[in-house]
Amino acid sequence: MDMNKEKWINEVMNSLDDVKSAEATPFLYNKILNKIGSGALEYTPIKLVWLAAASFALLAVLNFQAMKKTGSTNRTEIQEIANVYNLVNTNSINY
Amino acid sequence: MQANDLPTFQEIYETYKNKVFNTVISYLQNQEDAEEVTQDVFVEVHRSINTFEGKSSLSTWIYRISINKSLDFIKSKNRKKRFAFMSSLFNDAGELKHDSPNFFHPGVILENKEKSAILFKAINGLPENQKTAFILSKVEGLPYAEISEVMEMTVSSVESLLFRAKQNLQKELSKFFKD
Repeated sequence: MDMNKEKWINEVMNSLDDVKSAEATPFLYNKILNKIGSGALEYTPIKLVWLAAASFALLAVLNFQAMKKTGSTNRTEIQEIANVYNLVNTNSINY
Repeated sequence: MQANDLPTFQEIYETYKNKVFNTVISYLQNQEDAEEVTQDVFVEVHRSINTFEGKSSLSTWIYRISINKSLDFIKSKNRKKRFAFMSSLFNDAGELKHDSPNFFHPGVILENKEKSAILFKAINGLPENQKTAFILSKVEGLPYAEISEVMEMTVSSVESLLFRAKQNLQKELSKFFKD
């Protein structure tokens, strides 16, 4: 190998001998904290997702049952009131 | 390691910020990319610190995360470059420069800036394992024993990797030499 070339390669190979550590920029810590803060939304625990889904399902069932119960109660109550006031449930007109 | 033995996140950050940044910037050879990946490394440390079992030292664990995140970033960037290249075939949207610009490591002394930039260019052409071993040894200054822990291999394997890395670098550098 050419002496100059060999010398040059050795110099390039040794160019990192006295390298100092690169320093992190001053505001990096705040950026990391921001990322961690916003990351909380990305990493929603799976248990929490299931709990929310179960809550919605339970709420829907309870609503349905309540509506069903309210519907039947209303009908009987109206019937009772109609009986008390002697209201006739027909389409005929009485003079 | 007990949870109580672990330092706080801020203490971990203060202790390892420069080690992480120095490793990552040597890998990625770009200041902005290195800042982004350093953030990702510490977010991962914060997320996984409770699962850290203490089988290796905290330093080794953080170096491993730094290397894995750097490799992931390079792979993702290469995928984007390939996609951009494919797009350019169809769109003819300007020229693509495949040569990475010269990288000047901030910790290199002034008289070695140009030569170290050439060395970093050659380092980029090394296989992953050789690149990791070379950066940890030459830039980060880790002893072989610690490099072997980070890379999960024997000390003799690390020595062999470094020997091959130096041989490959010398071959690559001989192409860069101008009379």
